[in-house]
Amino acid sequence: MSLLFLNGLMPERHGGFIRALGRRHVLAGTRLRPLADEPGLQLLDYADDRYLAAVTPAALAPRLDEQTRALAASLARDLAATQTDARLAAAPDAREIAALVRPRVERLLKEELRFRAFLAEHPVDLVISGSDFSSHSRVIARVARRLGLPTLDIEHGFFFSRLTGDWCRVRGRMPLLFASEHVNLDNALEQELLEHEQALFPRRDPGEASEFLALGTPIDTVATQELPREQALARLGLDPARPQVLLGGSWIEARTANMLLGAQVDAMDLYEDLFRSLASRPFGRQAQLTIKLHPADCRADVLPGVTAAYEDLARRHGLPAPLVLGDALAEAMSACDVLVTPSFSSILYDAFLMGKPSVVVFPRYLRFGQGEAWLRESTLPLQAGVCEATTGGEDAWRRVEAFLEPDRRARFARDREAFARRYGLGDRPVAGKTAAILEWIEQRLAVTAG
Amino acid sequence: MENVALRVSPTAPGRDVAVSVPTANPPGPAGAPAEPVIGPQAVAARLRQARLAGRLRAAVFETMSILAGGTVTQEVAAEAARVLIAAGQGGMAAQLCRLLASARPGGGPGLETEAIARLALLQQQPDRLAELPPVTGSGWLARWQRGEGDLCPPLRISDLKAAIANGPILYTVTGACPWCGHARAFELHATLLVSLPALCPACFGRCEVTWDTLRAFIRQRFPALVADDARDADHDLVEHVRQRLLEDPSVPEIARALGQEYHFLLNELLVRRRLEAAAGPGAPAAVPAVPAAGGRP
Repeated sequence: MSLLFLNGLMPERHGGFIRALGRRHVLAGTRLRPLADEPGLQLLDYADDRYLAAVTPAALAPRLDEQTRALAASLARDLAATQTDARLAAAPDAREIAALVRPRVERLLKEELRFRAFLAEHPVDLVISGSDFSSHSRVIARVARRLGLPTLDIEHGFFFSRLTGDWCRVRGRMPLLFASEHVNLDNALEQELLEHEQALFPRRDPGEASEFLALGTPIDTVATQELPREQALARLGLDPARPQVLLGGSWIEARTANMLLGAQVDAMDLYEDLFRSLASRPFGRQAQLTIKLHPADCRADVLPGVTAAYEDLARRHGLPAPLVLGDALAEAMSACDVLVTPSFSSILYDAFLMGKPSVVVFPRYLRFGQGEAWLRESTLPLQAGVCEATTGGEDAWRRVEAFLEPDRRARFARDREAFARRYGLGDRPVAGKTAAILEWIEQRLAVTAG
Repeated sequence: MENVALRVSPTAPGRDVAVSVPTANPPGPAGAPAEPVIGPQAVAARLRQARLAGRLRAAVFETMSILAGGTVTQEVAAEAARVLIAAGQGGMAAQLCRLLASARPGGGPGLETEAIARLALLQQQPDRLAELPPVTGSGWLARWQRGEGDLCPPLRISDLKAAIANGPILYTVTGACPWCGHARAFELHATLLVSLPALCPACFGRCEVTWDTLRAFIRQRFPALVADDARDADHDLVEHVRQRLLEDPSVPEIARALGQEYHFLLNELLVRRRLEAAAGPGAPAAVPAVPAAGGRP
């Protein structure tokens, strides 16, 4: 049995995959505590005090001050190079270093020390990370790779709407900076997109590049839970005689100054435009609108306010209150005739798998300042016509209504089938994807052992 | 609350009766220091402070802990009732007020008129407001008594702060009650597309935090952050960081280890600085006044 370290993989998301691994190998990991008492699994306790005991002030001290200074200096350089306002261009002051810079460094160093303490006792044969471009798993993945350990990244999302071709270079876009040697994706489409992206943005050190696999992303899609339309309509209390439009709620992952407030304002403008233009059309009286909120809006302290806002928008424009859902995505997708999302969303892939046409409405802040060509060419689904994009409510509803016409719908179905065939897109069972990844892992472990 | 045998002490208001205040923590190990005992005036003051600060969830939790103790003074009971009313817990507040009324020599719960009125509305008993003495002025109850309904004007927003991190944002909206001017803060997670009614913890009047008043405030207070220039500046920063992380050999290892989080860190610095600069001393509040008639009932 080999020892596999699961870095950032979560049982609630990848439970089946983790259990399949655990039936064959010894596991340790950063988020495996929920499985601690599960029979049939051999787990080493990464939360054991002795690994945490390695993270002492004495162990941290030599590098903490030095790394904090280095990071602060780098930030100062970048601020000076990019900001014209003197207040914004200033180097981080002591308050900012204490509040923002030093804690970041401390967290990274603690993660590294703890992981090294674990490695000192337990030789790890493979590190499997979950989305290692993000902060929660990047540190360990990098350390492992630097130490010569085999590394594999398992993604938990789908890259259906990733930018394609030269659109990857659009000003203001950061590529994904994977850390592991191997990155597993779902299908040939994703592999093509991310290989191209990496080629456009090569690492200075070629040793940091990743090899992309397409063994399948081992999680359920919404399509796996698809219901017959009538059943979904009945569960949601929707009228089967009316065209059903599902509007995806937006989630603004605010990592930039513009996104922080500008994006919020743009989102308000967008939804107001959608409701106003819907109310101005006869279709507004025919269609039944369902809004599925993003999970980030479904917290108990967020949901009531967000729901009330959509109801308020509808009321102000004389529309009946939409059905606002915090969950029941499978029912909502099964019931809908057309999906409308504000900018690219992960549920566009679910809609594709379920044979639903989609219209993406772009608020100002998410078009990277691009013109009309963006709306036709920036992703492969747009180019293939299985998804349409626009910027305003009037045009969005025009396209939605068009998708309800038999001829347009038939053309969509043909385009969808051709696109799926080309890239091998389909709702494959998770068990098959898991088996493929396990086979790859066994082969990789055999290579290492040899 | 129905199962708690609660007796409100019929002592004169203000008389100090030692009350042991239970906390949410389980009993400590043997030999641990005893829980401190504080007087009822301090308890009432603590509840009042939490209520007026808008920390209603914490105040309700502490209220329930206190009431579970079984005996409270009138002062504490009255403050507890105010907390429950402000939190919209009409049923529990009504029970407590009945107990208060039975304990007071003159009857009645001894609460201010606005609190009693709000409780009646929470209980869906608007007819009971007719029993209340008339109030003057332009407060919510005066306007109700003049037949204008239970108006719900927007919060007079005075500030907006944001904590940026790796994911959803935490916004803190600070504003003044449109009725009495009492300042309070609301926390909003991830989105400002909200319509949030609330009761003022001071005067018990209704107000709302709404997406359109937030939008108006942002456009007036932070125009630089919603202009195309802000987006372009963001894009320029990404271009710079991308080139540095991928191509510049002088980038320290700690920055490369952070990866995209290095970009977020830069932005967090910039966002904090921009918000601080925009707030500035003496910034005017860009809020609509309470309408002479109207608002949303």
